Amino acid sequence: MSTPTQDSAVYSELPAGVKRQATQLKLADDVRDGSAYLSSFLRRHVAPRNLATAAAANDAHQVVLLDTVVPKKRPSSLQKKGRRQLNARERRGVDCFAASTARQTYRTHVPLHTLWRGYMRSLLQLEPSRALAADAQHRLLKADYHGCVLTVARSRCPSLVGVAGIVLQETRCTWRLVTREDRLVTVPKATCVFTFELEGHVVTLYGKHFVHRPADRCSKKFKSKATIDL
Amino acid sequence: MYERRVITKSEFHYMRVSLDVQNPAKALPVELTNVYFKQAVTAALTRLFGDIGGAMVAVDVLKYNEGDRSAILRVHSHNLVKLWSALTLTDRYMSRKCAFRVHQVSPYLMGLAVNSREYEHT
Amino acid sequence: MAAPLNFNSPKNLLVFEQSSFSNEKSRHKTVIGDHYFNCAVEVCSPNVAQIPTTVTASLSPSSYYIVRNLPLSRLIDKEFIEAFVRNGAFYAVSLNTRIDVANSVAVLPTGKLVLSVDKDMYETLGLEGRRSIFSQTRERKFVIEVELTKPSFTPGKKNYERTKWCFSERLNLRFDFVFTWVPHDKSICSSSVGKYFSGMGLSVSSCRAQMMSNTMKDVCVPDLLALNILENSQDLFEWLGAVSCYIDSEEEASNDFVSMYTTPSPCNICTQLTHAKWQGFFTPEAIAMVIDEIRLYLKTPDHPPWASVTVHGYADSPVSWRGKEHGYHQGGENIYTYIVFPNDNYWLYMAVGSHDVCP
Repeated sequence: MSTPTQDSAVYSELPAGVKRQATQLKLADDVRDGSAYLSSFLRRHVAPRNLATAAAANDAHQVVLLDTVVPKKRPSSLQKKGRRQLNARERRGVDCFAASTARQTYRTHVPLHTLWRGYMRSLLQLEPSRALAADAQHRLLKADYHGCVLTVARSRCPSLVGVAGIVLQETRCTWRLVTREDRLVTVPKATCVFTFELEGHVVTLYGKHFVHRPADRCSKKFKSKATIDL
Repeated sequence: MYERRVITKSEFHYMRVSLDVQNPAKALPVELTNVYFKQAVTAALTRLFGDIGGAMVAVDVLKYNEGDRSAILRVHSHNLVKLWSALTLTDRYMSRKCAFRVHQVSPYLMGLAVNSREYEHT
Repeated sequence: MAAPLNFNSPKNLLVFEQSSFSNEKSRHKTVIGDHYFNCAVEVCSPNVAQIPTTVTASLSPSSYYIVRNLPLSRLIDKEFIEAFVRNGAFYAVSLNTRIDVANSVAVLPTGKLVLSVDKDMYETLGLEGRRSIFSQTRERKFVIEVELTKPSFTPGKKNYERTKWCFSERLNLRFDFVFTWVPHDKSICSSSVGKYFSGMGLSVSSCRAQMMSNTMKDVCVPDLLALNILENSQDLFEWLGAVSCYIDSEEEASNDFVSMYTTPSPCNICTQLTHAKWQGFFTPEAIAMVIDEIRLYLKTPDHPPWASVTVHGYADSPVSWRGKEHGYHQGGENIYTYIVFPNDNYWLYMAVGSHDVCP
């Protein structure tokens, strides 16, 4: 039995009760002796190439991490949810929001237009033979245009001039109209100027001001554009 | 026999200009002859570009009409911009308020013979 | 020391050609025939007391018409196209429309309606065109071309109806036009277009070319036969311009301070130099006739050594030669000059400004 070299719990004597029962607990002699236990532990658990450094470190009373630290694998959010979502390309491929190009007739959307007229009339508090209210511009910027009959009054692309139809769908950069000839036309907003007529008022919309996602447009603060040039 | 030449840079530019004087009834101290007109052009150049810069621009008064103080000027093509700017920025001559009006500019003297914009069809 | 200021003037093109009328490859017919809108003709010849009457006769009777506030939709009426555009050469160019700041329209004798429009008009009108080649960086001008004589350009066809809609309902475009018509069938009177327009209640006035004649005595005239023309072509053209502008080089040259201009040497003193100028609206046919008369005149006994014919094009026409695009920029000049010699040789100058393609 060697004498403890330092005042530490590791090197202190085993309690007297444990010592008494040493044979019943099958404690080997070397266990009872701290240094012998340590060297056998190291031999068993440390790779031979690290052993020399470990021994040296032990002699110099240094702290050495003997495990190779493997970072914990973080569970990915997809795995966590347990349900696979479509990526952008797949979502585009499905195109579930696209108004189907076939079988869109002007006639079927006339009720939508009638509905929209009522909505716009109440939104702008329109009365015939009275000018638009002062805040009408802000309301127009935030209004919903599904069902409005828009006409292209000016465009960078001259072929689009004169195209008129009921708005079926609004995206960030375009409006999709169904024309009187039952054609579905996608009109870019940024390079066109639109007009619509309501109760004898002809309202001009500069498409450049409407280039927002429709959902954002109603909440977004309007920023004036440097130029309304197309 | 057949010969074709393309000249891309003409040597001179020609300008039809006139001098508008404020209050023509109160005439200038001198009768504005072609010599004085040339002097007015030179004064305009030296005022903008200094004595040396102005003197480097050689201007010829090809034709001068005392009646309406209009003239045809000839200038080297590389000096056209200098002359034009000097004429535009002139506001007085002999301490009288005046302005040069540039009516026509052409790289060919022939171009000044006819002005289809001002012609009155009868 | 500051770097010297270097300002470049805009580029321009002066084409000099030397050829003969008898040369079968000579392009004089196309040069004259493809320059549609001519506003002035000048004839100049030394040693003659007056311009031959045959030349005067070929220019003076050419009357032309001015119609005020003509809607463009009238020009694409099927009736009009069938009666006039197909059955003759209809020349029309808009009047008092400055091509560099506004819209300009022309009807070419080839049956093409050309509109040179600015950006605002192009975006509002709704007719497909192309960007002007002279405003590539800043898109300010556009050129729209409508083929009037195409078989498909007929009522009921999509393109026709679209054009009609653009001109009548979209924008009711109206222009003043100066026009003339040369029918294929000589028995039809060329004034019938004027009658057709006035029948619609439009104001049509008939105009005549105005002539100015001037004879200078004892003037210094360059000796063309002794002149090295390939070296001095610019000087000669300048001298011709000086004659056209009535510049008296003798008087002005008296003072070196005023002008350093001199007549190109070698020069002779001629007893007289006659110069005549007609202004108005001239068809290429009339110009060709003048050239032919001059050629005949130079073959008569005691003929002058040469004669020059200068033709000025409209500065605000949307086309110059061969229907190629034309712009104004500085002066919008599109000029050509023939110097004709008795032996059927000719010298030709074609001068264009910076907004023009090489003729």
